[in-house]
Amino acid sequence: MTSGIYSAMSGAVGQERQLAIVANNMANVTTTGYKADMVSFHEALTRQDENWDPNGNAPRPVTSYKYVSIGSVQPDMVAGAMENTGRDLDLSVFGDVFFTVRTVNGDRYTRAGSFMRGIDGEVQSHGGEKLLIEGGEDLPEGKVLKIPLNAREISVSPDGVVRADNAEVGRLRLRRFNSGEDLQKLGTVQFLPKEGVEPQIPEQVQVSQGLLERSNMGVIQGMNEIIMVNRGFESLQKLIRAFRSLDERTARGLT
Amino acid sequence: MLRALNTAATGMVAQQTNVDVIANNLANVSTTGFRRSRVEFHDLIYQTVRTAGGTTGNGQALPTGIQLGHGARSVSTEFMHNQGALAQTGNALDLAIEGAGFFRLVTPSGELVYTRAGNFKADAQGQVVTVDGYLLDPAINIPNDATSITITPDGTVSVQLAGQTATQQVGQITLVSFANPGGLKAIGRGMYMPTDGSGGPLEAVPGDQGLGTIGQGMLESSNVEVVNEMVDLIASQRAYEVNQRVVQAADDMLRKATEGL
Repeated sequence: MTSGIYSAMSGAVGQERQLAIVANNMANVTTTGYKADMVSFHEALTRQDENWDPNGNAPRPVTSYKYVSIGSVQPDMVAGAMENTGRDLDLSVFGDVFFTVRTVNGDRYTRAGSFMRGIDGEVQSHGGEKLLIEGGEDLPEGKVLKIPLNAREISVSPDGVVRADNAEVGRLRLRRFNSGEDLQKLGTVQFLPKEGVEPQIPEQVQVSQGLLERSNMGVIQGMNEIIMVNRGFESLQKLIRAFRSLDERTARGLT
Repeated sequence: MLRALNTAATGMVAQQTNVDVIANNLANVSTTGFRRSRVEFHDLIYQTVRTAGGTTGNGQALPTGIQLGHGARSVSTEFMHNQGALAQTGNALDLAIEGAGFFRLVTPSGELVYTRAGNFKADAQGQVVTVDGYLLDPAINIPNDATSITITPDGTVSVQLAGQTATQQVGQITLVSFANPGGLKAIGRGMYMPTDGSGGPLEAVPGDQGLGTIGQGMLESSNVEVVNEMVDLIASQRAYEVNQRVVQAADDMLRKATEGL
């Protein structure tokens, strides 16, 4: 058997996996604050010929078997389209900045800015995670944003200060990450920094009230990717067939 | 391959929910006091195929790993409580709330329910009721010989009786608010019931405690904006379509893999 058939096969397996990722991006095309996954392939397991001598005494290697596999999947941090909803607790942030929410498992970061006031006045997401504000020097880990139940008007200034009936109730705990590489997805549109990554305090923030950030995955882009994956798979499958007929002919010729 | 099929299916189900909600919003575009709903979606859990920070065969640390998602699901349908347009009717018992709050009603079985639809009538006994005959609470009785009814923005109801010049106060309308009106449970006919998510009712006179005021002779229209719903409908339809394309692509690849090889 020629080794090419295995290279082609590894490519086909990679295409299958990419389709799974495109499928997830497409399923979340209307998910608020969703960040599309980007795939990058890399060459894996480049095997040199066994007779190759690194000291240069033997001839240069004649064969090297190359396989392809998914190198990494990371969220694309490009901003999604902003939709004007006019709702007071629909918030969005610009740049690589995230809201901090408190879950039962610890603090998480999210771009999904649709919040609501809970029965005790605590502001929470649709999944029940509590939105955090800065706690100052007394409480460096931040505290949950609480808005009095009788507050008529909630306003959020571009620098992230929340006011209820013009009385300041806190400053949103916003954190910045350098790139999607630093973050891990947890589902429910939450991110967790990878080990060793410290969330940074942004120098400048721009918060918009009444705007929601939609998924950054476009339908057209998704359609393109589906077609490319499908065609890629098709050509690799043709390649596998070609290798097979080559092997068959070789076998016939030898008998 | 099956992963992509299932993932795309979750996307299609999510969009079906979205279209269901949009259809209900559009069907109620002229329902008095109707509140539009909005669906929120979340992504599902991720399978970590390779952990970031792990090492390769040659001892090199990987900066990024491989995480495969499993699609989307709808997490909530929330009532949007932005103000609907106010339409002048001139009818003395058509009441609109300008701002936050709900009217409280008593059902025939004695349950308390809440509504924004202020198209009240006076029944044969002079009691103020909704079109379904549910009593406004606190109860207000309009004497049969009343010639005019005046309701002030703070909810005071006064009537002028036949042959008299002075007006006479017959009741006080109160409104209730909820900590999270988005979490109310709709029971149909424009009525809502509180849930653990919405919190209990907080009663006050109109204009107090962050509540809105009452506009007499006006009705609050549905807060559904046809154009917005149409845009959402188109977006949802396209999203459904693209998920269907993923199913097709996965099916196509499966077929090629089984037949072709």
